[in-house]
Formats: sequence, structure tokens, C-alpha cells
Amino acid sequence: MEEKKLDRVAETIQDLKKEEENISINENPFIKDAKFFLNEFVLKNIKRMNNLYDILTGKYSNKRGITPYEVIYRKNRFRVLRYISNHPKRFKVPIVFVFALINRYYVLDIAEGRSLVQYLLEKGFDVYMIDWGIPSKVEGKNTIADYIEKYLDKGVDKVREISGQDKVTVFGYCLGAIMSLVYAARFPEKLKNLALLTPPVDFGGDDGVLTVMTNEKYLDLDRITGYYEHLIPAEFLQSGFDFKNLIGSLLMPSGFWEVLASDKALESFFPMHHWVHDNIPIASQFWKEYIQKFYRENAFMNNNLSLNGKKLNFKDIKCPVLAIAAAYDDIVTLKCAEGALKIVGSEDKSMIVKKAGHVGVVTGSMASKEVWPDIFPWLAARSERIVVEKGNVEIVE
Amino acid sequence: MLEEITKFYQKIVNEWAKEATPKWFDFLKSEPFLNWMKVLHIYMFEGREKLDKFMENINDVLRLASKEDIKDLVDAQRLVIDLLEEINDRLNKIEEKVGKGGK
Repeated sequence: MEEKKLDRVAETIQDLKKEEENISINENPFIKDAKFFLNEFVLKNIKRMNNLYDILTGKYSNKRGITPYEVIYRKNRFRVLRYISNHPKRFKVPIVFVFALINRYYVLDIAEGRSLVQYLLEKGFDVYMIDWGIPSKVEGKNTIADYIEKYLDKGVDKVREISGQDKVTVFGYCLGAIMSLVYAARFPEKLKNLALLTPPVDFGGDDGVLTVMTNEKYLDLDRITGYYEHLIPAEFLQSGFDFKNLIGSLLMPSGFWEVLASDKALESFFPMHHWVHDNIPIASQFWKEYIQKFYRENAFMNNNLSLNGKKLNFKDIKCPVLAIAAAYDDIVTLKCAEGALKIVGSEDKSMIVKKAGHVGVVTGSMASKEVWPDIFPWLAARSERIVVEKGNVEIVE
Repeated sequence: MLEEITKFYQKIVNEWAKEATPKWFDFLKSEPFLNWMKVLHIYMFEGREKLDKFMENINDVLRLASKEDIKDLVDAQRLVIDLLEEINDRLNKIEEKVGKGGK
């Protein structure tokens, strides 16, 4: 009896669908156009005006991250943030995100459902963030060695102290991945795991736009750092990226017009738009060294980097290493990122390649569905699960 | 009809962007562009340096702090900070040694 009823309902649904298809096929073209006009040029424009009002009244102001945090260490403008979460802690080894020095850290925590930080907190990790801050002129002569030994190391030591763990997982993104690799070679004893997101490592024969533009034949580093003396302005650094993204910028107005008609699209568009334009200056000495050592001398692949006279050997990195690369990345090409696994001495090393761009691989809608779920098991297997003892029974949280 | 025209336009724009991006990258990597970039930044910085020197002279006459003065101040500040850090590190080491000796 029940089955017959269900069959009848299914048949009715099928009939209705057929009827609907017939209507749309036989619909008068004039009515179809009128409907389209009403939707595209009247209803959507009303929506756009409404959203424009919201934008002007500050509904989409820059939030710079969504997860609350406490500052656990501060040195000049440099800060170490500890994210606050109500989720139970399931893993002992804390994760320290190391972000790039030319952008702001909060892209990893940019919006609801697009925050890698929030995802890892929900999974039970203790998450920390290195915020290099906006450097002051006094920090303009900082070198790579200064940032590694006087800043990053102090920050990691604070994380070790607070978490009560001897070793941490360092998770670097882009230029932050370079800093993480250098840090791992300098202080291998402090690392449990090393995860690198789009790491720019192998510049030998790399034909990426930025690699070609920084060639010594065309870019006079001494002249630029000599003129700016302490800090390379954000606008100067951004100009290279703006040139590269010209096609995207040309299409921006028409893209924005479409985005303006959708609440959901606006919610993800604005945080990213703010972040892309929230550029910061960089210490001139650091920038010069970074271009010279990595882009020009390919220091990682040639194993030729010293910090304050101490020669580093990247084969000293023995901890598990994960590299994540993006196949459509035009800032760090796939070949450039693949070098990360070639230089380390670890036996446990893995690579994940995703069909995404440089930023999309970490924060795009695809990231939450395909990238983060791949990162989690790798980290979980290497981060010591917390075991709670109740009576004589051990319970894995 | 209107819907089809809009979709067609969108398709053309997307196709164009897909075709144009690698060509634009090739242009940015081409010898003429890179040479132009080099010449541009040589002239740009030369112009800026001359302007700065001019402003420096004016500030000197007006007895105002110039860009060079600020640079000197910042460098001096940095030296003081480095010195304080070094003193701090040494004190910490001494404290550690004293602590160990005491035990």
C-alpha cells in the first residue's frame, strides 16, 4: 500500500517536470525576454542599489580576521597570536602559522567557512599565528638572520613555553614558507613537523613573471634600496603584482557589477578585496637579501645560505615535511614549489598539488572542500593525539 | 534572445581573458618590456633623487628637519635598540649562570 502511494507521488513529480519543460520550450520569446529584462535589469539593479547602500554605510568594513585571539608575545611591531577556541583540544603539538612579510596574516582567517585557522581549531589543534606587523623605519635594516633569530625564534620559544611542548608544527605560506624552511634548518630541534604552502624554493630556470622581472639584468637592487633606505613602500612592491594582474584588473568592473547583485558573493568578495589592497612595506635590507639570495642565487637548491656567519644545511631538516602547491599559481610556479621536497633531509615527505591559484589554494571555496581535508589527516597523524585516562581505560579524544 | 546575447557576451569576455593572460605574461617577460622597465626605474629614481636633493637644500635654508636628518635619527634609534637588546641578552645569560651556580 505504502509503496503504491510512493510510486504515485513519483509519477506526479515526473509529470509536473515534463509539463514545466514543455512550458519553457513553448514559451513565447517575447515573454521570455520580458522575464529576463525584469530579473536582470530591474530586480538585480534594485538589489545592487541596496547592496551599494550597505557598502557605503560600512557593512563590509575590513574585519581583519574573524577568530578572536590573544597576543602572547610582542617585539616592536612583531606579534605572536594565539587563537581562542571553545573546541576541545585533541592534539598536543601546536601549529604555528608563519605568514609572508609583504601581506597581512589574516587571509588565513578571512571569513566564515573560508578560514583555515577556524577549520584547524574545530579539529582540535592549538593554533598560533606569526604576525610580522607593519615594520617601522627602525626595523628597516633587519636582515633574514634578524627576522629568524631575533623575532621568529623568540616567538616560537614563547609558543613552546605556553603550550608546554618542546616541538611545534611550523606552517609557512609563500614567503612565510621560505622563512619556515630557513628556520627549520637553523633550529631543527624545535620542529615536530614542517608544512609549506606554495613554497618558493627552486628558482633555477623558473620562468615565472616575477622571477624574470627580478633578474639582475633588469632590476637594480642597490639603486632601489639606496633610495628608499629603510623601507620599500607597499605601493612599489604592489606595482609588480599590479602589472602581472592587469587582465584581471581590466575585467574587475564587470565582475564587480555581477558580485554587487549577490549577497553571498559580496560577503566573500569584500574581505578578499580588502586583503589584496592591504599591503605593507618591507624592510629594505631584508627585501634585497631575499631577492638576491633566493631569486638570483637560488640559495635553497644550491644549499648556500648562511645566517650571521653560520652555514645552514637544509639536509638537517629531518622532521616530516608536507608541501602544498597550486597548479595554476602564477606567483610560485609548480616547478618552483616542487624544490621544497628535494632539499630537505626528511624521509617522511609528501606533496599535494591542487588545481588552484596562489591564494585560492588556501582560502578559495575549493580549499575548504579539497585542500584542508587533505592537510588535516597529515597533521593529525603527526601531532600526538591527546589520550585521556579514565579509570584503567585510555580514551582517545 | 536577451538572455542569449548576455550569455554570449560573457562567454566572449571569458574566452578573451583566457587567451590574453598567457600572452600578457609573455609580453611582461619579453626583452623590450624588461628594458623599458629598467630605463623607467633608472629615470624615476634619478628624478626622485634630484628632487630630494633640491628639497634638502630648501629645508637646510629653512632650518627644518630634512629627510636625511630623519634617516640619521632612525639609524641612531636602531643602534640604541640593538645595544639595549645586547645588554638584555647578556644580563639574562649572567642571571642564568648565577641561578645555576646558586643551585
